[in-house]
Amino acid sequence: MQKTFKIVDEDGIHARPATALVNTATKFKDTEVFAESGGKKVTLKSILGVLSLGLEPGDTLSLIAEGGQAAEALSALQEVMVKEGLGEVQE
Amino acid sequence: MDKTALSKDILKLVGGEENIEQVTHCMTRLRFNLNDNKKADKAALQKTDGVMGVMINGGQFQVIIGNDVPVVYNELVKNMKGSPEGRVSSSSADAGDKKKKNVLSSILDFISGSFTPILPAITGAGMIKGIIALLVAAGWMGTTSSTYIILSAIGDGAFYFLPIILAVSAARKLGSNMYIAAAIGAAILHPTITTLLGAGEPVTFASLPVVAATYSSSVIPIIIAVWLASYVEKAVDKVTHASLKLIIVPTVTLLVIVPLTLIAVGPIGVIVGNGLTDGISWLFDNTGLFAGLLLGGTMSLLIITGMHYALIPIMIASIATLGYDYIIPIMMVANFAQAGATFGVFLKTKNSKLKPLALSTSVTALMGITEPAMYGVNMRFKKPFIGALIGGAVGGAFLSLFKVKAYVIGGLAGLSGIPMVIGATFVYSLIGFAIGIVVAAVATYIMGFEDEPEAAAAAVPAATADANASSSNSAVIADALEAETAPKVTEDIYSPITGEVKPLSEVNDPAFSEEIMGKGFAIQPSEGRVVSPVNGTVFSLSKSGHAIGLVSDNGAEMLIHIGIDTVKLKGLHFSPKVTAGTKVSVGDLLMEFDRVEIEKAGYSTITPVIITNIAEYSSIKPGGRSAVKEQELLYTVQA
Repeated sequence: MQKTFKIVDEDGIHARPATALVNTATKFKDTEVFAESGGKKVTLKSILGVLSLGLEPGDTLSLIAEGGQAAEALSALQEVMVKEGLGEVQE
Repeated sequence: MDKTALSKDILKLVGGEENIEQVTHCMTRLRFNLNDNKKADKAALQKTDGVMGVMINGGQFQVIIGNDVPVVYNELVKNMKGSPEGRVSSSSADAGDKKKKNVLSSILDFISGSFTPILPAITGAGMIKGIIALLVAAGWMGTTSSTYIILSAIGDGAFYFLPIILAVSAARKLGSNMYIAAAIGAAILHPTITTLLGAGEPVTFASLPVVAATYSSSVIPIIIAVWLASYVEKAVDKVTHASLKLIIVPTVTLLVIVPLTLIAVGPIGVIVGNGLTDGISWLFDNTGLFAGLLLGGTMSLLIITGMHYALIPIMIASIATLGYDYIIPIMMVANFAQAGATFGVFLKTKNSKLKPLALSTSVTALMGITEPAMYGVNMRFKKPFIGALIGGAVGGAFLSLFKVKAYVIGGLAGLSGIPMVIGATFVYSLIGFAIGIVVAAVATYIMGFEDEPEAAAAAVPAATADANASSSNSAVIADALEAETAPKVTEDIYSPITGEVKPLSEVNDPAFSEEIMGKGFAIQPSEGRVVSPVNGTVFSLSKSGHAIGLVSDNGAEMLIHIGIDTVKLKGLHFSPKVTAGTKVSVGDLLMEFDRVEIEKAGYSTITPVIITNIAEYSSIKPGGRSAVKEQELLYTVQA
């Protein structure tokens, strides 16, 4: 399952927000979580991977979760995205 | 230092009471089971006066205090509102983190957590048994007097009813009900059951056969029984309505576990337990010096991995059933050998900083606190550790050749623990210990080791020298102990920037200073150039240029983050020289930045150089320099 966000943080997804996402994703041990943007797909469990997407304000980011607890993982990540002001959910 | 203040500091630095799931202590360490080891400020703890070191072993967060640990522990517990042994995890979100422990370390943790708290009871009882033996041997007391009988009961009680005592501590450790556990222990030790099982007649329970076994002084059956009971208790608790819990849960648990123990668990446990104790005794009785040679030569390795806790039940069972134990003297000689090897380092080294460190840690090791010597000196230089193993092997061989026994368990395996071996073989034990020390020292002296050059240490400013010396020791401690799962290889990270080396804690951004993103060091640049710290590939380069991600050829993921909040500069003053995907070697230019202009714009240029996949490594070992040039060793990330 996946969820798509539009990046709104004016600084993009830089080190600190990337860490918040990675730490949240890492909590779900049985879940594979990926981030996809601009045709590039990386694991959301590596800070460098997320940074390599180079997300800027206005970019579209899809979070993809697979395996056990996929729904929980996605909703936890959505909470981070929204609460930290990183992005907003796109339909 | 004031122990009350120390205990308050420790409580704060391990993340407060709410982060503590359980805390116990052994002879030298506070042993915390924390909800989240990351919430504890390891670095600050290591610097705390009165703390000798910090290590994480088998998921357990250990703070080494030394001999004063009971005082600190008592003060610590006074400051806590809840029970120290059974703090229930308050945040369920952290539960996932705790599952990192592998099965082996969970078992070792369970064993050490169950046996360490009961040591005072069996040490006291053991000493009393020793005193009685002396009184009788000296002819001051007859074995038929009622005084003797009462004194013997004091000495034997803790051993005879060992299952009950163990049941309580095992249940505490498992977080199940201690009183139900004690009731299980009491039931299997009930005199009528003992008589029934000892009578030699076939015994059945509801037509199932009950195997005759003796449970007094046994160790393994009750441990397994309490472990099973913890599951039964939880399962019954789950399906029982709250109003009936008080009646149903203990009743069902006892009704299931006690018969199960008598029919299945007990006999297996007794057979395994007796097999182990008899087997060890057989080895020592029949293989001459071989058993001691092998065990003495490997004991220090067992201690490092925590495997020696698996031996404690055997020692206790051996003393409880046979009245003596062969392993304790071997453990002592292994520790003495560590002291000897460190003394060898003291004799050999030309480094003026290492010399006093080696001498003082050697003396503490002699007293039974081996960690500083073992981790701070011997393992750091590797060959002295091998020297210590050789000393342990030779000393151990001598001990087993003369069948040296310990009669009491408890106390440190050092000079202060000498009363444990007072008895028929006392003189041989002293000779054996001396052999261990001398052989280890001589072996270390002959083999030599790579002495630390004076210059590296001298570069550290005098003011921070002490702190540095202790923190590098502690770092080595951490290194040695965290290396449990090591899929990665140890790798040197060279400085990407010329400047001053700062701990991450000095970076004014919690993502770095609290090591949330990873571990490493920061550099306060004195030049505006960034070169590659490793051979690898540029993995990501932020559009604003302020952060470079690299993956080394060996798989270390690193982030060089130039300045704090410099993302706001939108690339101004940064000129990247590479793009994502560029292959780089150590020293290749990655980026130039205008240090002065960035600072003028109001941003700090302190640059964290961190390993972001640190979870796959054990620790970071500092390079030891307070100022670095490009390409000089910054730190080593250890597998």
